[in-house]
Amino acid sequence: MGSIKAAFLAIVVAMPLAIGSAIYTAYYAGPKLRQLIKPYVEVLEAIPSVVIGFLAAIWLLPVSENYLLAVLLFLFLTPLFLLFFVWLNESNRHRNIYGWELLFFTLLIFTFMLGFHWLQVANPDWFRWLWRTDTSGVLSSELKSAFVLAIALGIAIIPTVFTIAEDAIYQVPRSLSKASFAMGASRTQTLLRIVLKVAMPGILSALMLGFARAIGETMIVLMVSGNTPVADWSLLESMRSMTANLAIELPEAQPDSVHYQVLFFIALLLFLFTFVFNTLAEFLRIRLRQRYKL
Amino acid sequence: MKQLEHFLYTLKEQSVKFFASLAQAMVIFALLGILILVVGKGLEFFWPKNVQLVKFQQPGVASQQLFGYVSSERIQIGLEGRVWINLDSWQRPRNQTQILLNPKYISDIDEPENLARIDLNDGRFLLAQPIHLDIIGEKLRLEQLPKVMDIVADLKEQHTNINEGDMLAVNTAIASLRAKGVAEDAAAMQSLLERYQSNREALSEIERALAQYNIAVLNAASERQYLPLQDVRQVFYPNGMSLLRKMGVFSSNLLLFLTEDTRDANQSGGVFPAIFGTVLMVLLMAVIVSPLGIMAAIYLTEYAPNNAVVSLIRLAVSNLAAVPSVVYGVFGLGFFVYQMGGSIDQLFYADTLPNPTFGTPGLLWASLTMALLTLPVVIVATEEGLRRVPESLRYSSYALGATRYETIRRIVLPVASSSLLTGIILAVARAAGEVAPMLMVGAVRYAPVLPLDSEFPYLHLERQFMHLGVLIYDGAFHGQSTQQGAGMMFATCLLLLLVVLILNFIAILVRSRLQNRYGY
Repeated sequence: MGSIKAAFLAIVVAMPLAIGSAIYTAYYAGPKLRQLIKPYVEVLEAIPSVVIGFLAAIWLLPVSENYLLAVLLFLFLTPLFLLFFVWLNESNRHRNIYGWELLFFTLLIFTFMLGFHWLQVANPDWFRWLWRTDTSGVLSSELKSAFVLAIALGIAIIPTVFTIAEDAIYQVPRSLSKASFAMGASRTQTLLRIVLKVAMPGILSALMLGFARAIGETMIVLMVSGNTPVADWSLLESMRSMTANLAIELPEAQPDSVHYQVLFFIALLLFLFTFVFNTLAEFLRIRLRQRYKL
Repeated sequence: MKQLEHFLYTLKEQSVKFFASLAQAMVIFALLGILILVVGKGLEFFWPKNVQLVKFQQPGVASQQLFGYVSSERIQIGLEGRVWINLDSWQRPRNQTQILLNPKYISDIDEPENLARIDLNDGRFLLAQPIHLDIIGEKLRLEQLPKVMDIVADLKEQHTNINEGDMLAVNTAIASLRAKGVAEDAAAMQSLLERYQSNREALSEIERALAQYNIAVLNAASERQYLPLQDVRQVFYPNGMSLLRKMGVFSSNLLLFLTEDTRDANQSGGVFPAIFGTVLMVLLMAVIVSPLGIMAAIYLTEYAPNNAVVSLIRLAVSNLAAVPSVVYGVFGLGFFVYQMGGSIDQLFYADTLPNPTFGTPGLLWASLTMALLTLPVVIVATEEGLRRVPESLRYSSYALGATRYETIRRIVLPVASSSLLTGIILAVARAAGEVAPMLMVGAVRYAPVLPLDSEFPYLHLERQFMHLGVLIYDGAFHGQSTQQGAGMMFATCLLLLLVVLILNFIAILVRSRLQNRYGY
């Protein structure tokens, strides 16, 4: 159960980020930018998960409360940024600066972080009342560990989801989008009604593979979550996933004891789970390929 | 009204692009952040940082002075601001090397130039103000330190030479004579025992001499302490150092990290055994997996008919790639270690049986498990390379009268050779980074001996070994009590990340070279 909770948290983080960036790379970015971004994300798929888990446990966990607030504030301010973005886009529409969106967001995120940091140093009291103490507060500190776990697992599976989803979107035949443009559809309409619809099986299979990967992920969950064997559907409770359970208990289990056999059964469950997900995803991808003869 | 409509339309148009590029920027930012964090924290570990002298007075206690590394205040919600002071680890239990202070009790923070960090050979370190050298009862000025250190190193070398040269030979000779039942007063025995005695005397003489080389230091409370120079690895003054000298200390720390054994319960020293264990395991794995994977890929592309069985095999390969790595670990433990290792023990090592030889986790089983895990990587990469070899090359070879085997051997494989290489490199990179199965089939947090040594049969496949990833995992649980330990783990992370990323980078380069050469 811990596995499913953890994977769900990871998918919540990874889905918007990975699919958003897949759309950007495959649909908006020019060929040169795409050739830069894609290998970059693919190389980062190779980051050993123990490194991500270590960073999350040692570095992110102590400072997570600040980052959690930063993320919340960022989400809160997003509409403002959107207006700013639209204004910039409209005023620069004839200049066509290459890859300017990325530059814009890099600057934006940096400014935001700096501003947030300044705010924090200037008025540390502002943040204190947000955390639930004995008397008052909005956010409970259990949110922190769930947040860290979600971020760490999400980052681990983003490259997987991104690569497959990007391929699916990029492989949508040019003729389809060109036909759509010829009918007078705008870029967004073409994207939403044509390209994404065609690529949907591929994106779904990417998400399924990401989910399977998150369920099978051992080291991050082992290092970040509390590993207490509590069966509770609350997302904020400390959890112990199947994989972490295996890694903790199997080296100590006596061969051929009941405990040992139960652990093997857990491994079998994990295997079957990923097997089913993977076969389904493969099937979806084959169907996509056949339907559009890619 | 019309303007508003137009505005809403543009908003709708742009928002998709907005969110897509926001996501993209965040992904790039997050991944770049990981890299920068690991590189920065990892290199910081080797860099000599300034040491502070902190004067503070807590209520009810007399004013105190301490030497330590003051780390910047972390703002902790619900608490007052705090200052961490990381103290030295000499003569101090490990759980007392950090002090938490309230900033309002600190009266002064200073960085005196004559404050030295003294690194000891066993991995601990001492922060103190050296006063003078105390050599054979004489006081020498501190400038003589390099010379004296050379003398000490000479003496220590003599000590090890006797200890591991003649002494070892004498000891083995005596032991073998005793095992043969030779009487204690036999002539050969007597001469050996005499040699043993004279060696012992020489050793204790050197030890006595070494004990007279000391350095006198003042600790933070201005008490004089003496430290034997034979325990000292290096002395440096971080506060008054020039950049060049800092670079020198940096590179010596780096060298120590890469070449020495771990010390002080994996909290300091080097990670050489872990590097060695990882490399050896990965090499063994490459030897096992490359013939298997390449032959499987050749069968699948060149020979296999296009029928249901073969597509089932393909499905199996792609599923094998998605199976969680921990399941491979379970399989390795259940099948390789307990089944295969158990049977090997019963067949060949029956005389030692209650103590298993191959029936426990070890190097061989770890590399076999890893070979299984990376098999799909090799198969997929090789297959891709083979399929990219133009059909025209194959047909021209057939037209010249070559058989199928000759075509594959002389035409297809040489053309696809770099993709074979790519597959193996990717497999090695994957194997170096996997930790979960390693926890079960052979990697341990501390292995006293390397799996490769000068004793027959040289390569000990049944031994347990150390692994970089396992070291990190272990450090995350146990190593956070000291700043030193956490820094060391960051450095290990950096090393692992560098190895994996460089291997991947090479794989990409090789692949793109292949693409350029044959133009597809």
